[in-house]
Amino acid sequence: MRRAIRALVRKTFGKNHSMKTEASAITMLVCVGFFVAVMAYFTSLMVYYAKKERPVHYAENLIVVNPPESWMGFTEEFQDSLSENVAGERTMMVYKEWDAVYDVFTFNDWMEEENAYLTIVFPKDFDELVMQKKVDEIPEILTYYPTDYPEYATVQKEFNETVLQEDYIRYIQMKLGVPVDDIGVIDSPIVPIGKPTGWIHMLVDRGSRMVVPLLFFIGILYICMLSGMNAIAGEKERGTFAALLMTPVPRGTIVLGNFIGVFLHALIPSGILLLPIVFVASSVVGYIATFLLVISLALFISAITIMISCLNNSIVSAQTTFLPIFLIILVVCVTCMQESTRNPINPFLPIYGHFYGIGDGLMGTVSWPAVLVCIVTTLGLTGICLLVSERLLRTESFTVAVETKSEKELRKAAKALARQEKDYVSVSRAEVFGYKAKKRKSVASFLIGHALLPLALLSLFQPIAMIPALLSYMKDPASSEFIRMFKELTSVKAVSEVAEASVKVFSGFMQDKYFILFMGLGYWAVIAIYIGIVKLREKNPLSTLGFPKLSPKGSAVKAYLRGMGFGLILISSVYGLLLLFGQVKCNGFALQKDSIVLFILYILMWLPQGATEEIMMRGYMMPRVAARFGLPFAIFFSSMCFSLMHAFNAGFSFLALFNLAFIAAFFAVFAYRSGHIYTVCAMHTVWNFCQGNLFGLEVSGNSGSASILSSSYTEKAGKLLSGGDFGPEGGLCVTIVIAVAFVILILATKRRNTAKV
Amino acid sequence: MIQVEHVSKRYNKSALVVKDVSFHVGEGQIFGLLGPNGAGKTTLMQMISTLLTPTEGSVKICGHDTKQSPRQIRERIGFLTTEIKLDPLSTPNQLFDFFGELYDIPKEQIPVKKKESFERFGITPFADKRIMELSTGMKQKISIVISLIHDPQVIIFDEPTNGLDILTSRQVMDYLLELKALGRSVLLSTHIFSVAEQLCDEIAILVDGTIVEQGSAEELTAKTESKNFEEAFFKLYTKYHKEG
Amino acid sequence: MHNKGIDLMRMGFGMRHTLTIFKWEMRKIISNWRRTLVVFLMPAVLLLVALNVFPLLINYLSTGSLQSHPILVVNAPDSFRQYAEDSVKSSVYNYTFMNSKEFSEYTNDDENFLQEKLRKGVILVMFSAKNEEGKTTDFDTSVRRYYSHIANEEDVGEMENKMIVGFDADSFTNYTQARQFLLNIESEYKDYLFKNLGEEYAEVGGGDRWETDAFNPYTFVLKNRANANLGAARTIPGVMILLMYYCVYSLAGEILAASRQSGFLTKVYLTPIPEVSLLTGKMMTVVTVSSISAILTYLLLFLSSWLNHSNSAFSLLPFGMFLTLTQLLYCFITIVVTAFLMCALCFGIVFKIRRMEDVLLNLQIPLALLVFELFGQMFRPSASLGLEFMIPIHNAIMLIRDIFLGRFRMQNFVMTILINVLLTVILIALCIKNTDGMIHISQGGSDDTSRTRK
Repeated sequence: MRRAIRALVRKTFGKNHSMKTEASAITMLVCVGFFVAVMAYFTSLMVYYAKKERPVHYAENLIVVNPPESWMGFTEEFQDSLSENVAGERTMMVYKEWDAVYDVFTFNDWMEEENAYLTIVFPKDFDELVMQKKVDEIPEILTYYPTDYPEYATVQKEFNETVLQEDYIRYIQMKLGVPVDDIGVIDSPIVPIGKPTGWIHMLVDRGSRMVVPLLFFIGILYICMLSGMNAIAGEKERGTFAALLMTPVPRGTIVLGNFIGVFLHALIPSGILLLPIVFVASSVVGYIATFLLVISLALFISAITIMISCLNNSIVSAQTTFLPIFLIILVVCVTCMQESTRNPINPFLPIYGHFYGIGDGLMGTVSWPAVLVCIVTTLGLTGICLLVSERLLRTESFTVAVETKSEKELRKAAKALARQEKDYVSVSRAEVFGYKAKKRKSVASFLIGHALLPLALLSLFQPIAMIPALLSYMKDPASSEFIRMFKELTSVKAVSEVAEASVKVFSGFMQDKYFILFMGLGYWAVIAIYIGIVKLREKNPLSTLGFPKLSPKGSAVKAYLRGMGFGLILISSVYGLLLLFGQVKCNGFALQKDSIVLFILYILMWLPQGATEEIMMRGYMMPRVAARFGLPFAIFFSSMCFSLMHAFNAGFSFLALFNLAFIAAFFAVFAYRSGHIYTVCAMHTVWNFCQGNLFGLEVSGNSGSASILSSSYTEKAGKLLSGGDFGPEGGLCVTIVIAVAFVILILATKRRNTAKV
Repeated sequence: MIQVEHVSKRYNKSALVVKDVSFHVGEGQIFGLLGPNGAGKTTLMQMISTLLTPTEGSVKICGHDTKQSPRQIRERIGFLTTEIKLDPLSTPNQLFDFFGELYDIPKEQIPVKKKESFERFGITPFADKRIMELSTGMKQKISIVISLIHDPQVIIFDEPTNGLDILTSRQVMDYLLELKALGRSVLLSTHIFSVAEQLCDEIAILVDGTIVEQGSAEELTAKTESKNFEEAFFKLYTKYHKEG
Repeated sequence: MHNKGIDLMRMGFGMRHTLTIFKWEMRKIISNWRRTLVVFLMPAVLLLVALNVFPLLINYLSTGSLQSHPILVVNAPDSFRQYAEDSVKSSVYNYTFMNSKEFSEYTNDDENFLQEKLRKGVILVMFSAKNEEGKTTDFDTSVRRYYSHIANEEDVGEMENKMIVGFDADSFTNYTQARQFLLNIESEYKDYLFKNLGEEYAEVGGGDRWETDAFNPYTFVLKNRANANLGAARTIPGVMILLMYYCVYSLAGEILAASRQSGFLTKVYLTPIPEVSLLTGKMMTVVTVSSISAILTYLLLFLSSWLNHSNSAFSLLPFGMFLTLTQLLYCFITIVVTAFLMCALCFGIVFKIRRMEDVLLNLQIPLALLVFELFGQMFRPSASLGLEFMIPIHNAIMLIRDIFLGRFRMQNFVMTILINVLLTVILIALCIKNTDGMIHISQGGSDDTSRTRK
């Protein structure tokens, strides 16, 4: 038995019974490189502490935008203190005038041109507000600094504290004869309480009570994990454990041999740590206590690792099991470190006792009963762990490493295959645009995916389209007001207010050339993405997106033109109805010369916009949902999605929700009956165009400008009929028109169908 | 087809593993290398298939020297050994496509070839399973299919029937005979006598790195005056193998 | 040796094979996504958690609670109680109010009362006020009187309003927290006092006449960035390079060493594709994946910085870190080049050494060294030296650090890129010369006796 144990112990040390490994020249080079890097590191430290680092060349000048007269007076009078406080004599002040106070880009350009480190922007009416005794409305000074050095932030802070908030205020207060508060209302010193114990003593105390025990714990835990997991679980994984079990060596001996091997491993870090401690320990007795505690800890943790190793069949799974234990023990350590007043029982418990005991041993405040009780309990637990491990090795499921993995995988693969076969849909419930489903996803992910795709794409491209508009807008003085609106936004708490304010912001963008242009481009991109999805991912022809090749050639164009006609008729009748009911009045021709560019951009934007929404809802979503759930649901679902997509626009109401869904349903039926979406694309585009840019109405809550005609609501306009802020889609007029159109559509197609038969 | 001329191999500074071996394999011939474990069969085959370079001597395949133009040789040989395992996480389908591309088989031909060879070896039902889920025999069959993906002139098989059941090894042997009929040269190493006896036109017996005898199975049996081929091999081995 | 000229002639031909190999390896990595996630994302995610939890942990260690920081306020005036309730900034603190009588009772009962409280991380705040004659008086009244005196330009005498913040003399953390507390609330509380008790002074024109950058998103972001980027310069470069090496090392072990071990690499080697294609294909895979992992790490760290709302004194990554687009571009180029270098390094090691255990050990050594590097950078106050840009891999860390510090210099960048590219080329050339490294040969075959024979 002794020979067996010895053999087992030896086995845990390295596979080939030797620690020799081959090192490549590259590894050597890496080590050399590291050595050089370390040398460089220390050299740089020396340079740093000798204060010989090369200085950085910061910018020197100061830009003052819209300087008020008081500032000029101030700089004249305070010249000395200014040059003392700020960057020195070389500083030059550069004066500029600019209305857009938030125009970072211009300021950055200036700072680069003038080699300036700070820009101070005064509001135009600064003096008027400030040069009176009691200030009612506090103006705001804005500062900007270049991005290249982070240190400019500190410079700005200093400048603000010493010049703007100190000297400058003094100056103005002096001018106005305001009494000066130079003592400060409160004094707030920060004082130490209690006598500091001296940092050396504190360091030693903290070190030996916190750091050293933690090092022991981590060292032992880590080494035990490495060697223990490799011992039994690793052998199971490699398949060599069976051979060992086959030998006449009793199971207990196997456990014991491996245990001793792991324990010897654990002694390596313990020994390394224990040796230097000899010189630090305050007493021999304390050192002995520490020694005993460390040994018992090593024994205990080795036993735990062996037990876990027996439980698992592979190194990885064993490590995963051990990790929580590792963490739990570490948490115990952390609690030990944290508690300044100990629970009286804790020192008697294993782990807790070890942590406290090691620290106490080093500091020479050992309580022997606690240490002894702790060691005895630990040894008992160690024995229990070993017995459990021995028991485990008698159980079949923990000894024979069956190839469970591959079998499990096989079963899984078979199941997946069966599922896949079942999921191949041979018959779709309804076929729209010739789309046939190929694969089936779960219901929830299918519907949510369909509902979220348009939303995701739009919410990606709309903000992107905003960026150029925002940038161009920054240079406009009006932007200052605009940005202040954001400021108000931040103070708003209720969700509805935020939504409303952001809609306001958004409709501001609808006037911007760049925004409209990029919106148009964004819609084209969305169309491209949809085509990509159909062509590349689904590998379907474009006809399943509602764009079949129509014969004869050019009939697609004809269908599009026809759609434009229909659209014009529809929206005109809505407008006519509105006029008829006296809801709106036409203010005549309104297109201005300078908004012609915007007008053209609008046309270019509506073109892909209508198509995009049709492709999303009718062309893509409808056939795919129909194939799975049938046509009625598809129409309902796509219409609701369409309708809800506009739910965040201004003035949205229940009627608007219904109307939009209704229009969508009309378009859907139209597209289904015609077999393509050319016509509805055109209808959608023309509808929006006419509404916004011909009659000058709101398009689903978005007001446009650059309209040919200008219309406005009359005083007697009711929200019910006209739709209010949301535009005609929010009112009953649209409901009426669409209802009529729907009836005509159904009748017409019915006649055509019967005619065909 | 295969010309091995006075080839020797020495690893680092150890003793010669292969000593002065020469033989030729002609078109449409199956040549067997027979020898005990550690006789140098695998080393010899690795030299022929350009994995190792001979310390002395030269190997020529279809007129190309292994040292000078290994790539031309690699285009012309199919090499199979138990040392080379297939990637366990891939499926036969993926492997076939991958190697098809590496061997520059025209894109449109890959599916055709795949269907043909998968059906021949009954791999089709397993074509989309991962290699690690398959049985040893199936793995070996896939290895064979992939080694022969580019329809090589010269086929070098290191113990192709190792670990296969009788049915599968039968299949493999039939296939080899078929290849022979097509005019391919086959170099085979095995220590299963029945395989060697049935398949090989010529057999070389390798003991301690040298060819001690060469000829067809019958010739060897006759030469050593033995009852059967197995006894002939045994006699040759005891005669030439030196202890220590 | 075969003709190298043919290699060059086949370059165009080889590109396609490179792509084939690349696609194959990428497919394998992606198909095994769960493992991929564990290997490449886990470290970064763990780091994100650690960076966010670390300050919390220290807070927990020093206070024993995860919630708001406890403050013991003695003799608080009404104005302070009201302020504590109203202010957003002070909501991160958990106030316990005590009048001076209670406080003296506690301290008399238990000598260690105060010491123990402080040791648990409590910060003590005491209010006291003296009137014109130097006698103790009510704080709020005193403040009001003070403003009235100032407004009327009268002498304040020995008047004194004090808010004393006390910390444990033994504890540095306690000191930092006390300072942070004062920094957070002092000026706001002063304003609050002025607004509520200083009407008289306000009437005659006292108080603030303007505010600076009360709403200036640009300066707000820059201000935070200045602080955050300095913090980030300590951790991020080291972490990014370390995790990238981890990625390169595990991938190189997997797609080169392990596949050589199984013999699959030999199988590929035996196909007529150029060795260079095989090498570059694998290299591209490693570089792609590791660059992505580095970028992901950066994104996660970025996120972690912007999520760090508490922004406590112990944050490793303060709130608001970001780089400009040009800076990001330089970072990215550095990272990709370094990924190539690391990859060439790992491949070189794998090619030289055959035994799997030795390979892994050799690959792990740089990993260990990089950990030291990380800790070194974390506590480094000094600027980079020109020499440091000549040490491969280390120079990447220094460069990214400099980018974060706003100390970027073109010549350092060029030097870094040149050195790293040069070394990569040398290492690749060595690998190509040593293509036998790709072949798995256990000398003598599976049933080996040759080793025992010698």
